[in-house]
Amino acid sequence: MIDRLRREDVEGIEHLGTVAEASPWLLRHFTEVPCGFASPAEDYEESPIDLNTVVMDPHHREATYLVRAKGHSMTGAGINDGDELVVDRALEPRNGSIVIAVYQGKATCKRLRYMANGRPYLKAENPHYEDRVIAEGDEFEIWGVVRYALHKLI
Amino acid sequence: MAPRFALVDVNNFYVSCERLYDPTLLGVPTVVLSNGDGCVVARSAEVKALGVRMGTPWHQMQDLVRRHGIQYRSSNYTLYGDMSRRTMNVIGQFVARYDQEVYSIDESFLDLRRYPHADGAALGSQIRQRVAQWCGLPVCVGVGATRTLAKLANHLAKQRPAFGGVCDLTAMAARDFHDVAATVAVGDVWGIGGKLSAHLQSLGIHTVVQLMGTDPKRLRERLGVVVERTVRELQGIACKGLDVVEPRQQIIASRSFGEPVFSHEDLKAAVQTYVGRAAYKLRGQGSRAGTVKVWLETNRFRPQDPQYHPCAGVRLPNPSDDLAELTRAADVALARIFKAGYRYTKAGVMLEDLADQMHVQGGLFDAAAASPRRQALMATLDRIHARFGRTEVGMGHAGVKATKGWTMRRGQLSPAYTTDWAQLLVVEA
Repeated sequence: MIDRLRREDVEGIEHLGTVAEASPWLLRHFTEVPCGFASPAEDYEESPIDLNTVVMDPHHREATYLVRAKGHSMTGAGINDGDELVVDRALEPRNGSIVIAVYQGKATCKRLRYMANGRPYLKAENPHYEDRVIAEGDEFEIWGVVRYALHKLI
Repeated sequence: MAPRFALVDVNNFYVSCERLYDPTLLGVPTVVLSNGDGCVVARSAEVKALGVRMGTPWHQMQDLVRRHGIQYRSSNYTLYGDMSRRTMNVIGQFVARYDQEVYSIDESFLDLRRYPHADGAALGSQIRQRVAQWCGLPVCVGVGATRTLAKLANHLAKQRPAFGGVCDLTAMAARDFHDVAATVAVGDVWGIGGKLSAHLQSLGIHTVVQLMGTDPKRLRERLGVVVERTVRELQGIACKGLDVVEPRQQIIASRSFGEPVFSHEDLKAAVQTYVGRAAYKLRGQGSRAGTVKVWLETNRFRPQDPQYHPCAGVRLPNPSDDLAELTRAADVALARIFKAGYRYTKAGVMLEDLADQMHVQGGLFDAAAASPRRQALMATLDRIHARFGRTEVGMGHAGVKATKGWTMRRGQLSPAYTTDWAQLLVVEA
């Protein structure tokens, strides 16, 4: 899966839908003309699941970036040390979104929350880590919204 | 349908790409250096304000660097290429595909004649907003009745903060346009370089308003057809539509060496690597090459060194995209020009006389190259190339991993954040 994602990310949108991409399908449908009985599965054929369309919004391809998490502050949200995160910059961050924020010159992954007075803070999802309230004048920017975490098991 | 063009251009493109992934560079004077860390190829606004010119050799500005804490990055074309692709696709979302022309790595024209109701300023700010959000890059948008005017508008959008990054000349009152054009120097007009600009000034033409008021025919006699066309375009008469993007007619792969190279063997290894890269591009655009050229350079800036800048070409019996054949031709060309006793600092490979793969005449003696086995081998090489990076396998010396003195100097190369799984941006969690 990871390999697949990576290749897609490398080649990007221009590559999709070119002749090279389409040809296996054409081959399957037009050159393997069965001489005997037609396969009973033929009418039910669909394209195989493409994980790209699951982990990213296909309409946001250009806005989708991959980053790698380092640290344990987000384990409660299912993000572990070393996990890859699919970040969508086209999404509007909302109260409760898990975001990549640039805070004082550093990129960090936290949950975005707003206090009653409207001031944002970055909430860690691990009781051993402290939340960070963004003070007036702090360098702070939302880099993107995290859509998926990829966790490797082997 | 009145012609109308928009030019969208990324501000300080390379520096902006570096800043997207390294926020510590935000607000800090930053430059990106050319291949081999030689000279400045991109400057942040802070560096421009210090008066550093494009192309300034890095070693000549060390004083400024120390005084102002200027940061530098080696050029990371893998990253810029991917960010360019993203940006151009986002800009393209606003018009039909055939109305977008990607003009360079960081500039795109949009032909707006099919969108007469689109408000130029509103469209411009939408584009600005979306590119900033999706790609994290700042762009400026200029709208004009011709491409030259769109370029002028873009220049204004960039240089004059009052415009807020978007300038639509088609919506400007004639009087206002006249006033603003009177403040723009002829040298800032698209296509008017330093030489032409000096020429025009000797004729008493200093500003855009003066240039627009000149009879184009008169200028043609003195300065040629390009200037005539430029004046007409400034007067609002479109002289060229969007050019259809054609496959490149020439493919070049060249690099400066990190260390000077002396031996034929080392040059051969470098040249073969470049052939591999050029052949990959060649097959990528579906072409075959008729001629393979190789050139060598010594350091022109070391007058104490003996200088030698040879170039040799080999014509192939039939245009080919076969790496083995191209490599053999390059070897022959290199052997023809190599002379011992020079400090070589750069080598390059150029593929020329490109022909479409489909339109290649079959020759009597090229059966081997065109065989399906051979084609399959080439396709496999391309796949390995695409998957594992460019230097894992190759012809001759090209794939061998060794300490290569000739690989380029890139002291501050940022990671390939978007194209290599091992080099993703690390965020603290």
